[in-house]
Amino acid sequence: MNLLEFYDLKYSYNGQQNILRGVSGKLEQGKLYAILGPSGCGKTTLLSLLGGLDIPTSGQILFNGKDIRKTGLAAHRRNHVSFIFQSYNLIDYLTPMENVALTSKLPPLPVLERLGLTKEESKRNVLKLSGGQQQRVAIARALASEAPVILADEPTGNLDEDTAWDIAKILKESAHQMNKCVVAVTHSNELAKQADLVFRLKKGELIMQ
Amino acid sequence: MGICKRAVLSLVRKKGKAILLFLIFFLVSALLLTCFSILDGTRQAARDLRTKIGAVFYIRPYTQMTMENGTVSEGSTPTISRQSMEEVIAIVGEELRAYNTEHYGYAKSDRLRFLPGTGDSEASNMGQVTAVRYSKLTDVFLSEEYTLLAGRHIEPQDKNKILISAELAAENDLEIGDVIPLTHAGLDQRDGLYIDTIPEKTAFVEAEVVGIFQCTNSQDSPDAPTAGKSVNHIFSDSHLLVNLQEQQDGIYEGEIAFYISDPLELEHLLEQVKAVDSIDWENHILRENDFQYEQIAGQLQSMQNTALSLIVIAAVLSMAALMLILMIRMRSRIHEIGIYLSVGKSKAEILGQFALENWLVLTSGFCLALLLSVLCSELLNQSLFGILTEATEIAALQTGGKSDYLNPEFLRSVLLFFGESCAVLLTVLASSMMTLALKPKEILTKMS
Repeated sequence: MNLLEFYDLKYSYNGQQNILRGVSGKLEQGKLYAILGPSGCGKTTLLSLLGGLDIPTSGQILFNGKDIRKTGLAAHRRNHVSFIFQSYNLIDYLTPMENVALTSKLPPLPVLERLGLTKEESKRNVLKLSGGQQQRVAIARALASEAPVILADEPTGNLDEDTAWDIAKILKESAHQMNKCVVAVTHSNELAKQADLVFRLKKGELIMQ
Repeated sequence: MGICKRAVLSLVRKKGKAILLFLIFFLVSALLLTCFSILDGTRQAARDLRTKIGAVFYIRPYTQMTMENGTVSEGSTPTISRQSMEEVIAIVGEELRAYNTEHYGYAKSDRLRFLPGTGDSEASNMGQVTAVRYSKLTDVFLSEEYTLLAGRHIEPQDKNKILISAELAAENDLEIGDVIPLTHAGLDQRDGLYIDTIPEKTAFVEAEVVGIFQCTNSQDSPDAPTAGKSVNHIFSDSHLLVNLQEQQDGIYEGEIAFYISDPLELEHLLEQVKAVDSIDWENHILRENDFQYEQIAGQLQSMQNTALSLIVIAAVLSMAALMLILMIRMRSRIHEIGIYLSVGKSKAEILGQFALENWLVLTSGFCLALLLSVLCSELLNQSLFGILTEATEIAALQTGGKSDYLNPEFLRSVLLFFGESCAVLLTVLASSMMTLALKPKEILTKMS
């Protein structure tokens, strides 16, 4: 069943520069989607629209068949989606456990341990962790939330090849084992190779590969 | 994780910023508390000073003189009744500290030999009696023309008590506690001789000497009759003249003085007293005396104005600085706001956390400032208001009783804390709203 659907999404800045020119797609639970494309093609914009961070110039986004603008973008962000960013975006004065606890009432340690962080690392300040570890914390935070959709914006962009490969695997496992719908915007071929479906965004249009 | 825990963690983990903010809140609160304490202190000191000095107004009778066919004739002596006086007392209300009445007469005695004046004879050997409620409040004692040597002054509850001069007491071997018989008398001049206008004596009173005074600075006219000499002056209570049939009960011929607490009220009270119809204003005038207060009023006003100006400047500057610092601090948290929004926290939750953080720091800074101002108030009070005491050369502000003018008032402190809290919350709201009003994507763009 389609979890997230989007139809004829158009987006332009100041009514002039058309970033998206009628993008449509259907996303299911339990799958990892990769969206590829050159810089500035609108990948992050599409992710922002799907996550309710911005409003399309025209078009419609449905979650479980309901228009997210009608149910409320804030509620959509709170209940339906969670984000993973290239720059991790962790609260710098909190520990990994506390960062994960921001989105979930469940104990955060099992999620963190599953992603490879030790108990000791989970209690450190996040700034004292490596980039890869910080991204794992960001993924743990997304996984711990009850939101069925994970939107990842260049999740491996700041990481070395080996770590990027690990993160890609984690995202794939999350989609398959935890029945999440993971949408990753990326330049990384490693991540694209792990994806169940790959889209390419070119000249404002989405093409399935 | 709730906003309380997040707020506490933020403060605990970012100690440097929290301590800096705490110091700012502490300094601003201490400054404002001190300023308000000084303002309150100067107001209270001024009020105490005014009350100590007080003011007085008099209702003074004057006899109309008329001229007919080249002859000057004197009208009847104007009087004020007790009813009129009670109307005035009701107008003055709580401001009234005391009032004094005066009535005049003459008295003589078989046991009393008055010190002779011009044209002294057996008939004119008498003394002038001034019947009062308080002898210490009469002009001669206030100006120290007379000073009490022994015993006490005449007071309202007295009946048939008298004050006599030291010379008269010595002349007649009188002491405090002696009782002497007095009878009524009247003085007039006929054919160049002073006579007693009441030769047939029908009223007698046993009067007790309760005080002896010294005529220190009084100067008698060289041709004053016996009754006109200061040393023969007798002060008594009103009962004595009533008993000697020289005064109608409740009717006063002399000046009536009303002593009030606050000189600032004087003008307003005089307006109301002038409207009392039962007083014959054709034959009475109102006289006021706030000379002592006028002497220091300028100093007091300028001190209060300085304190007020300082408070306004300090309050505006400190609040402006505080708001600027808070705005900069809030704007530096755009990254945090973006993260919270992206993990689904509502704007209200984010605002709540920031407001709570600042409020907690403000509360601790304010409490320390309050504690210090309570502890330091006595020291500051001595240095600030001690100088005032010396400057005004009055004893009004000397220590003793409630003299800590800088001790912060509870209600004032609560209001100040409330005001500071509002200012802080409004600043947090305004500065956060500048960020929160943006679309989440714009915030994330700014973050990156």
